[in-house]
Amino acid sequence: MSGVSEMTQKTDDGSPRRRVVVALIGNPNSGKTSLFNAITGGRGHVGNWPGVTVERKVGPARRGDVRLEVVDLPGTYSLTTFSPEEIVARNFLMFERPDVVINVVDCSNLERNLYLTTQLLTLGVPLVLAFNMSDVAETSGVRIDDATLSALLGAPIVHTVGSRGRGIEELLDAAVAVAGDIPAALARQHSVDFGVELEPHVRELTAAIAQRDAQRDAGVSPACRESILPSPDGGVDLTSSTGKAHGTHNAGGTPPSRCDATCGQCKHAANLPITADPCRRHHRWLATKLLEDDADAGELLARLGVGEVDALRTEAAKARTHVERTMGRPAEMLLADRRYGFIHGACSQTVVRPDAGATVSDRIDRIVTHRWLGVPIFAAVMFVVFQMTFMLGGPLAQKLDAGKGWLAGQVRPAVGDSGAWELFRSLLADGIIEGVGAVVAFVPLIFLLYMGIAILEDSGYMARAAYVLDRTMSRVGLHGKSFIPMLIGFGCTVPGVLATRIIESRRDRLTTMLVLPLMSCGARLPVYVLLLGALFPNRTLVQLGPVPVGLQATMLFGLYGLGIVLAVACSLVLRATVFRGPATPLVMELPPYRRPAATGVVIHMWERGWEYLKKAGTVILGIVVILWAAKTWPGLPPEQLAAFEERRAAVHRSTGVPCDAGILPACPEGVSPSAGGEADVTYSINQAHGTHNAGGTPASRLAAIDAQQHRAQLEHSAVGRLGRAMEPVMAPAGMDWKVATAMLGAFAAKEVFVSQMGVVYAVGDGERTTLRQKLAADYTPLQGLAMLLMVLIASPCVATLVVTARESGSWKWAAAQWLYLTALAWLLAVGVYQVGRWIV
Amino acid sequence: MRLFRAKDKPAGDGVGMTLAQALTGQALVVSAIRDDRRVQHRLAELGMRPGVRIKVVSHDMGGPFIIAIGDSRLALGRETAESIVVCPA
Ligand SMILES: Nc1nc2c(ncn2[C@@H]2O[C@H](COP(=O)(O)OP(=O)(O)O)[C@@H](O)[C@H]2O)c(=O)[nH]1
Ligand SMILES: [Mg+2]
Repeated sequence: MSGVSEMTQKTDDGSPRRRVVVALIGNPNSGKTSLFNAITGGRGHVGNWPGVTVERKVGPARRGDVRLEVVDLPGTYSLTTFSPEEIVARNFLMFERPDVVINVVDCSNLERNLYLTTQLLTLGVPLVLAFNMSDVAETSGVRIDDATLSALLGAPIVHTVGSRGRGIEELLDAAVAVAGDIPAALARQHSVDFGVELEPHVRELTAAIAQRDAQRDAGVSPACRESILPSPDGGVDLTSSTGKAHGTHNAGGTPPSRCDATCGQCKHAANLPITADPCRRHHRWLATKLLEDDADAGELLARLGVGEVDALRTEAAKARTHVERTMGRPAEMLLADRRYGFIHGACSQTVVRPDAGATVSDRIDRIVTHRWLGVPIFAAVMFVVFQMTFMLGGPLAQKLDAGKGWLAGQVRPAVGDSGAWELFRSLLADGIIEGVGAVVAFVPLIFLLYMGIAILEDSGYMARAAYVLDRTMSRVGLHGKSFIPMLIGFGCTVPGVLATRIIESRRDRLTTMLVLPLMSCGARLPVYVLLLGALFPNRTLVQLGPVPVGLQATMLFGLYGLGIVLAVACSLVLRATVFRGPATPLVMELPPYRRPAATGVVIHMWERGWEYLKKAGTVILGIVVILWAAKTWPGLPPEQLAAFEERRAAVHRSTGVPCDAGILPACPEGVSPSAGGEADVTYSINQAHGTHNAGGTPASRLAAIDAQQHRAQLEHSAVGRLGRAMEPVMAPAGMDWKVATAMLGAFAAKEVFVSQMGVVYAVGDGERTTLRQKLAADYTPLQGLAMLLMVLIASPCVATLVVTARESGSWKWAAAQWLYLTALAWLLAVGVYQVGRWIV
Repeated sequence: MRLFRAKDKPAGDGVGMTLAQALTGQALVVSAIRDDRRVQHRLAELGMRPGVRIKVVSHDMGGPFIIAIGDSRLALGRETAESIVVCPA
């Protein structure tokens, strides 16, 4: 989609076939995405707008022989840009020049939604109005005189029900018709008349901009110029001042005579009804931006190739001061008043609506946002979402994990056994299958969680949750919406980071992302359990009635609590330093409650889940393979390998188990010098049992040899060496190379800490008790405490970093996240260990 | 169940009363907004501007407010509510 807005091609049979770019724009929750899905049949592609993490959805459609390309723009209340979403929407309209713009209007809340429409009319883009939610409007008794309203605005109106796909064909017909003759459509449209005080200034500035626009004629066809004629149906008086404005204007003699060009808007500005500019240079709209002192006005002018921006600014500033002095209010407020006046005028002639008392939504809100009930209801709702996600997703994830194990098992014996094959097999089984498994393991959780979020968003509850939590969260300097990602983070940090998309303010969003890993995710639990079980006595601290409160349970609870406390502290610090700025005041629309449409929810879930798989998946997979390589190379020297083989052979000899084709090839399963870790240990033990069931002892002896070889391999590998190299850094925190190595493994996924420790201690996977005993023999509880702190705080896992980088739009933030958390963990662990040693 | 602290009481004559002091269910007219320009502009675009009739749908003591403006419902933080001057409709 380039600047070329319309392309005509010939098809095989010679009939002309056009491709029309359609943009959907409208207020949040007006039903844009529902309409988009209905138009494209759910065949949209989700991506991000370049440079910003705002979702971009594009999809194909066709009406008759016209091919459409539909773009779902982010929700926006106006074209005054307060958020990245709004900038994206506005820039698309201005610089990518879609052939037709469908303005999705929630006609059950007409006046507020038409505010954006008035801005679109001033901007001057070919418009079709989709009056969506017409079912809701109908049931609440709103009646709209479409013909008159359409004439007043100068744009076609089509009634639709996005969630049920009603009115789509009529909508597309209208869109195709408008796209077929853009200049005519633009000439029909009416802009708001800004009234006797403002209109002269707007016109003067419009003329001034036009004069400095060197490209004002660029791309304007002769037909377009022809069409700049007085429109016969124009000049509808909506407010009493319109006539006056014209009167004053003609008498006052401020016609923009300097504008000599064919830009009809300026040429005829003084005596014509205000129609949109057919050249789509947006001069009139830019004039209002200058008058509003919009921060982006200068940049937009420059981007359009308008010269002497500073001179224009000075002129605008003069006009602003003049208006403010005479009217006592800033120009942007007066402009907004005039727009609402225009809407009010139009609606009072065309819309009949019964006086609505308290709506159903209001009655629900009285309970759901209740001072005391709000938080418990929120807790209950989130509990249900979690329950659904982790109870339904957990078993699915386990199945996938089992599938992964099965697949790895298939690969191992299937491939040959010589040295190169051995390595290939290990790459396949321990690298790629493990890596893919690590990605896929998240999939059910992510899909289900997205489904939950989609339901919460579409039903309108998400806004209420933010409302209910705002009081608590604003104390921490965060937005109410930050709470939801944090809560999700207790399950898994990755979907938590993805859920930060619901936070509009970038500062709040980045702060939330950076502190999210402090919420103890599910993968950290097995690590906590191992360390607590091994290094701390299970003493009963207090007896609460029949329930004994144990030391381990208290510490576990304390770790979760510490995570929260640190997250609060860190976000306070971040908000006071890096992300300093006023707390975003809560100004948020609460959409009425609606029953979410199943198709919408499923499409939403699928699109986001798929995006995760595609983008994050590839990077995570790559890093897991790199970690595999780091555990595999350098391999053990041949003489050490031979020594292990010799010991195995000795076991076989002593038990007389037949190993027909020599020792090595016949018993590959039992002896695979895999560097993978836990899966292999289990596997080799099972195989050993299968093959050599002659007695438990030889099998366990073989398993012990395997485990020792794994340990030797790990110690010899890059990871092991790195662990050793880290020892001097870790020593002040009471940790040795073994812990360091396990931490390196935990970088792939937190729970790998446990299996890596198993390898380091050369114990099989089924022997957790042995591992506990060995840990207990090596480390004191104080060292255990330091380790727990490291596991809680230090180094988020690869998946978290990748997703943070993607969602923040920069690896810089992922690096910052890793660095500050790791530094914080180290400082705390060292502090605790050193102080503890001094006390004990 | 309505336990209002002194500062939550509506001002008797309605002059100089802010939205933060309004009661649930009260119908009001906005007379001025005393916030910075950007917030004012944003509020105006959402329909909250001088001269407009609004209604307090609910408010959370010390926390945010829900305001009805026509068919829309707006949640406002307490600080914002304190910057909106209203008088009874
Ligand atoms: N009753 C009704 N609900 C709708 C209609 N269009 C969309 N919805 C629902 O309104 C909610 C928000 O719609 P969505 O398309 O996500 O709005 P967007 O924010 O503008 O993209 C969803 O729950 C939809 O199912 C409609 O015409 N009638
Ligand atoms: Mg949407």
